[in-house]
Amino acid sequence: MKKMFALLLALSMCLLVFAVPAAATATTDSWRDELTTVTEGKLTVATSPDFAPYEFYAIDENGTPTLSGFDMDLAKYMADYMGLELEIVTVDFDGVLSELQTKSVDLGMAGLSPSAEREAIMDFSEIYYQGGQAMVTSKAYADEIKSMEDANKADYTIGAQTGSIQLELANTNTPDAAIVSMPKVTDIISELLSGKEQAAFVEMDVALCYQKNYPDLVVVCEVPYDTKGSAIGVCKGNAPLLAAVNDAITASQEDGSMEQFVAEAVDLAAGDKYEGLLEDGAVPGQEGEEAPDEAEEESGNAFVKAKNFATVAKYKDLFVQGVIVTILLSVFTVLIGFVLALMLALMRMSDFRPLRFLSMNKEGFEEDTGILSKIGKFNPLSFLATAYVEIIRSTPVLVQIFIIYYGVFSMISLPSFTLFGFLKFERFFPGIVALGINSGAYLCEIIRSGIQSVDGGQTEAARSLGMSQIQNLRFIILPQALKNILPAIANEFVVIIKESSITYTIGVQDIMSAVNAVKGAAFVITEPLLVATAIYFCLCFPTSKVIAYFERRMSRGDKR
Amino acid sequence: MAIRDNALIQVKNLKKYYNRGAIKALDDVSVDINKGDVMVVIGPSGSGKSTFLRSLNLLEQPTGGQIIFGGVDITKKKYTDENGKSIKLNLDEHRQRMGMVFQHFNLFPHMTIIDNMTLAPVQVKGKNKAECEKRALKLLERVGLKDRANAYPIQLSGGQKQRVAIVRALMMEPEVMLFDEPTSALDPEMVGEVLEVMKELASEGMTMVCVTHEMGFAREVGNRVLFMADGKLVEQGTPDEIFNNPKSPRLKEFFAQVLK
Ligand SMILES: Nc1ncnc2c1ncn2[C@@H]1O[C@H](COP(=O)(O)OP(=O)(O)OP(=O)(O)O)[C@@H](O)[C@H]1O
Ligand SMILES: [Mg+2]
Repeated sequence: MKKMFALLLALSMCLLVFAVPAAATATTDSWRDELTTVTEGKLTVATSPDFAPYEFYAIDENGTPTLSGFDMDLAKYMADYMGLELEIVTVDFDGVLSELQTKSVDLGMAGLSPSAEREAIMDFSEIYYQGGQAMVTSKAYADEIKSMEDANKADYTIGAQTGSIQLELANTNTPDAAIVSMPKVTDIISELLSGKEQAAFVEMDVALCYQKNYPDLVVVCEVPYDTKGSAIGVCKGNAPLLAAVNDAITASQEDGSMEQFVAEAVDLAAGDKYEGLLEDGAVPGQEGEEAPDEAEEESGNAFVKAKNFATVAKYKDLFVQGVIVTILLSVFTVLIGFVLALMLALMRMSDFRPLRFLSMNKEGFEEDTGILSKIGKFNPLSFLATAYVEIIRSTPVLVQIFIIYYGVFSMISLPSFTLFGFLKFERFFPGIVALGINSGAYLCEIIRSGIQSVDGGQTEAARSLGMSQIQNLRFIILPQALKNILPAIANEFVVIIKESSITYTIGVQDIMSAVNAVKGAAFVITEPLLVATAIYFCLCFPTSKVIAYFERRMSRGDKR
Repeated sequence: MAIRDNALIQVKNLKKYYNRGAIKALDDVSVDINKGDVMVVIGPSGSGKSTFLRSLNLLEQPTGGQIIFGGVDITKKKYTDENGKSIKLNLDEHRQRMGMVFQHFNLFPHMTIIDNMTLAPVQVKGKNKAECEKRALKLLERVGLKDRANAYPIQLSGGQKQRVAIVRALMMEPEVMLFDEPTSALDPEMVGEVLEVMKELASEGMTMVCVTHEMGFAREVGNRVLFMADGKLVEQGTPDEIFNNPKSPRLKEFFAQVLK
């Protein structure tokens, strides 16, 4: 019932959003009056910032990690052009496609190349940038791999970004090789340089940027591809927005802005402001060049570098935000999970048997034999709750998060606002709902065992005093049950802290998303992961120690 | 019969079966409990004494029969009032009028003694908390536990706990008190203090049904004794009739065993 209501509410909110035309300054352009966006007054753009010079995190003059790249500059230009406020959402590359498909964002800007499959789920703007596709290799293989035919061997591993055009190119051009797809270009380049991959398909400009930073990277050839260039993915069916985007692109090209954006971005990506720059050869990947069999040993030396921690330190703002987000995620998840779990536990333990009358004899007493008595014992509430718990506990939380975020919340439009300047409600909320739904199933069993651990005589005493079922629960059973299960609930909290890391997949800016931002921008992989490990440990270990302390104190009280 | 008019609780053909009738914990028990009765239920272990007592306030759902309390058959979900209107039975209301004391006390361990006593009157009957506390202290004083009002159950001895359990039930001002072996879990030296409280209660005219193995108490305080065996009410009478002049062989056998 509640869900239906929420859906209706969401639907009516949608209608409202669409009924009220976005405020726009009056001009002659035809789209101005009809322009609508996902969030009124905002232009929401999804991007995957691991794609220098298109989009990446660069350290600005103040030492703060900032989203940069010519896509970002163009996005800002377009937002200004349309008189909207720009809102950037960072997700993985395939996340950009999903966001557009579910109409959670207005635009996707990630060096998208138009293709027939993609046309089905989004509209494309005019080509705004003529890039190309490249096949790259490392110096170690430069002699062996001189063309795509050379790379097309079964014992070669070839990388490409998940969900990208390059992945298709890899599949068509090097079908015999083992093709691995990874969500981040950084990871692909890193594998290539460490000898785990022999070649990779990447965007030409991206390849050239990486090459400036990593001379060991070799561009083998340009890969022929029919639509040479990048377009902006536009939320499907939004004609005024498409028109506006195209107008903005034209304007940016006519006034020379686009050219300037590209120049600046390439400069930024290649210049010393771009983290991960190859200085005195101190980059993890470089050691991989010698020979593949020595690579492991060599990279062992270079596994962790102090210098790279210094790089990570520059992104500390992202980590601080990540910690706050992770803690908030965990607290709200446990709260939602607890309320849900309480309801589920009560449903499971309820005595709601609507078909009981079927098993009654003439005198009105229940029979305990025969098929009718079985039917009479059927409890739909308990059945539903049990099914819920079993389904949730038997499926991966990642799947649940995707279903909740891309499935359920694509039908419900959430108010879009940002708390503390980095916590995006429309992502955070589905995140805590999905985690809460998951955690509810586990907490349900904890609460159930807690209730069952309370002596049956307590209920009998309460009921014999005339207390109702609910009064008994509230005053007698739950206070005792909760005391028994408090440690288990707190442990679930620790589990959630760790499990919440999965929400970065839907664009929640938690600790893991900080790790990915650093990986994508600075081309250091191990160090941000170690930092994240340390942070998670510092969050979880003391928490579980505190729990253990209270657990001991509480059991002491019982023995008194 | 004159006794009938006086009946507070009429039990008619009460049955409680387990395992599809394989176990007959109560087998056709009929008895009237009159106002002011101190009815003592005796019998061997497993004879259905607890089941009988717990059925009286529907802690045990009977398999058949009737329990008429205050003119209403409380084993049924609905009843018809004087005007022929069908009314849904409120079991909680009936339970408020029957106090129950358990073998294992069942005090609420997370509450102080005084809170144990005031919770139900305040929450169920909506009484004023301060007044309830005043009354609770008076009752505690009568059972000699006034100074323990703010203690937790875990800090009391068994005998003290059971005295608290009795006054907790009295806080609801019940019309009848049900006792299920109230002294069986106590060390021998504490039995007396609990029986003393029960005796006093009986002398004040409280209607009581007691399952007990304390034959001395049955003789001295009870005005009626029921003897149960194998779920059946085998014999009943005054203490004098039952103890000095048992008729059924089953009862004689029972006395031979317990009074040895
Ligand atoms: N939940 C149950 N399932 C099956 N049998 C039961 C159940 N509860 C009670 N019984 C059976 O019902 C019979 C009566 O039990 P009851 O507890 O009323 O006996 P009692 O007279 O109180 O015995 P005691 O003096 O040991 O307390 C016993 O044979 C017992 O095994
Ligand atoms: Mg018993």
